[in-house]
Amino acid sequence: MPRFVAQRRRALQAAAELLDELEIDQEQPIDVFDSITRLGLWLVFTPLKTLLGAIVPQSDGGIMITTERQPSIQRYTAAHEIGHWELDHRTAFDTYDDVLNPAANERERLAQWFASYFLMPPPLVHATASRHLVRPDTDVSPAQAYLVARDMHVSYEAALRQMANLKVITDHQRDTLLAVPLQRAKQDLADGHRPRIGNADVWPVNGPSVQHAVEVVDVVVDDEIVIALPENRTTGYRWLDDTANARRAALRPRPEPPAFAPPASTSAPVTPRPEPPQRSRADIDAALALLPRPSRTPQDTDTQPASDDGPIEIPQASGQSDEGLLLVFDDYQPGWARISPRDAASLRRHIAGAVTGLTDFLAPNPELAQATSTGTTPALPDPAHPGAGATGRRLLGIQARAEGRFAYVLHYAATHDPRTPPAATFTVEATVQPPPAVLHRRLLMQIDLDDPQDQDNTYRDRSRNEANQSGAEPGGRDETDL
Amino acid sequence: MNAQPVKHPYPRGGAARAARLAVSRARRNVDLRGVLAPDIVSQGPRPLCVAFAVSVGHEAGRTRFGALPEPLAPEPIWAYCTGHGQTGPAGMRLDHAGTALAARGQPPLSQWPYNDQLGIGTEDPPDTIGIPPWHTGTVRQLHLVHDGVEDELEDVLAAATPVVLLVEVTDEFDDPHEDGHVDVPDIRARTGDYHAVVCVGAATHPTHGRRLLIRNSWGEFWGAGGYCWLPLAYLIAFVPLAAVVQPAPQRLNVEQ
Repeated sequence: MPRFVAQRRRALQAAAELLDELEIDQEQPIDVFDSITRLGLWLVFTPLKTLLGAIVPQSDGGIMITTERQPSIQRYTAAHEIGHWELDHRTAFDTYDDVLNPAANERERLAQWFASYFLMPPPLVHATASRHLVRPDTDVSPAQAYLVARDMHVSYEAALRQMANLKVITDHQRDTLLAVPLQRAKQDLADGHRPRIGNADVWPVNGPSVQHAVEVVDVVVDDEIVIALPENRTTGYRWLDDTANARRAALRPRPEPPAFAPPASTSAPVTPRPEPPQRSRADIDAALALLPRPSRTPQDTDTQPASDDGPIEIPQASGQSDEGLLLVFDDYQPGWARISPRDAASLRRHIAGAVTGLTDFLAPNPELAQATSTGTTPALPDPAHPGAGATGRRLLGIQARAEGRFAYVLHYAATHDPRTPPAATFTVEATVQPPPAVLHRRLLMQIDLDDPQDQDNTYRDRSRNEANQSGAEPGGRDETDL
Repeated sequence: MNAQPVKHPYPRGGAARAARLAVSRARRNVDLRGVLAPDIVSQGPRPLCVAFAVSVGHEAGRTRFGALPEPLAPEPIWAYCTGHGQTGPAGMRLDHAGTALAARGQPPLSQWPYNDQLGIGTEDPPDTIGIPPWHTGTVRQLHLVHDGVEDELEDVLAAATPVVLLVEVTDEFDDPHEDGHVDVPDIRARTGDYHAVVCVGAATHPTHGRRLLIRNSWGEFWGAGGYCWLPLAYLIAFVPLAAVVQPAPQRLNVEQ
């Protein structure tokens, strides 16, 4: 057996043994920071600029993790440092390549193998992949792969490599998916919307249904929850938040226009001419010139949340969630056809007669394929006979801004009618956690504050050590670098 | 039926276009609400706008035969199209509603009351209204010119025939001004879905120019008492389709 293969086996075995020793549930995401504490190692989060982390085996031993990376990288780095601790007990200052590049030197690669197995043991990988329908014999989208990574609390790349290691996906699938930028995977999940903060996770929530009038999500500060709701705007109904829904009560009826001119004749029915009129290009251009001149650039829903969306203002985080959840985008996708916002003008020009071949821009409503029992591809939308009364999709992006528990309540109601009760209600209950570094520091502080006399001195010492090394008070933040 | 084709000369050139606009503004105002029952029936959260609009057009047309204005039931049109797989998330086509109207027809709304709690579902007709066809009719497409004038549409209105329009639900349409006026959106405004309404009049406004009086099915709190004023320019790029409803001249197979 080649030497490296044997060592690799030893690394995997060490990870498996440690998981067993710590009695960790291997079907749930691994709390690697808790594992470090239970191993008796000290843990410091500090803003390392060039390193992802380090292991210092002297004395009780300890691990440093950079605060400059997203939680998934922090967790993977922490597992990597545990690997060094378990496998060789030597000091290591680990760069990005040491932790994440599969072409690193042998020592780092062993730590990588350890970290992958420790954070992603086979039961967790198989359960998570199965939940997101990831299988080697089917097409796996970048969005699916991202969801697996997100739910295992690891990076996109680490998840792909471990899934390939465990033959959950093929090597070809892994390489194909690795070529897709992570942001693209997130955008696919959020219908094209880019998260405001690139490292933030995206949490799609699809509703509502009778079974899911309430959705519960656990997120981290800065994460974005993307709510997709069926909305039929041809009924005058929209999804409104608590405030907007309550504001309907103040609406008052306005009188209809007074009668002004009865028709001259009611006896001679008319039949429309059978053929459409022939028009010149100049006629069409002259008609288009009657429309208001475009006053702004094509709509970019990522950067321009709608500010005036009908008679009721667009939903805002309501009640106690004013500071916790912030609406960051609000969009609507028509139901009669899938149309890119950038093709809106082309559609209107087609109606005016100025553009032909519009079907190139149109795609069927994706709900149609699901509704078709045979699973056949639905026909392309026909601009000459568009469906009326179609059900579109309302997309609301909500960013978690502060930790806590928040409820975002939406009511499906007639925006203009104060009398009719909402036809449906949908609630997202979000529990927002701070990032791991903040949680860890708070834990150390809490231990100090809860029981200053009897608490194991080790924790206080560790907290002080952290403060001393970072040049700040425990729980604070500094700019120290290595 | 004594149907007469509508003459629709379409002279070319800039001077002709300017002349048509001027003539359009000088047209006689027309208000067809008198051939409709006054109460506006609200469709509620159900996606039945096409069936509602066809019903209103049908109701108005029946007055030609001496019938008093009486709302007709939209449910049979929806039920027929649902039964034929012609309704769904992508909406419902106007020509399919025409097929339903010709094949099954509509009883009065009083005989088959509307239930706004059925969602996308439907229901069987009440036992008391007999076997279809009820009041039948034909839906004929009216070819829009999208020129901001729409002579043929105006001629049809002047002949006391309401016109069914598929309008795009833009933010401007969704929220008319206090007096019911709808602004014409930017051609690059975000896209909405198409909604069937009925044009029941036209008038020239000193500031806004020639506008169509639209009857919606969103209840009397929307717009101005359930109506809005839609500029003819809105039809250039935000109304892809129009139609008229021609009732069959007699009532067939209805149990008295």
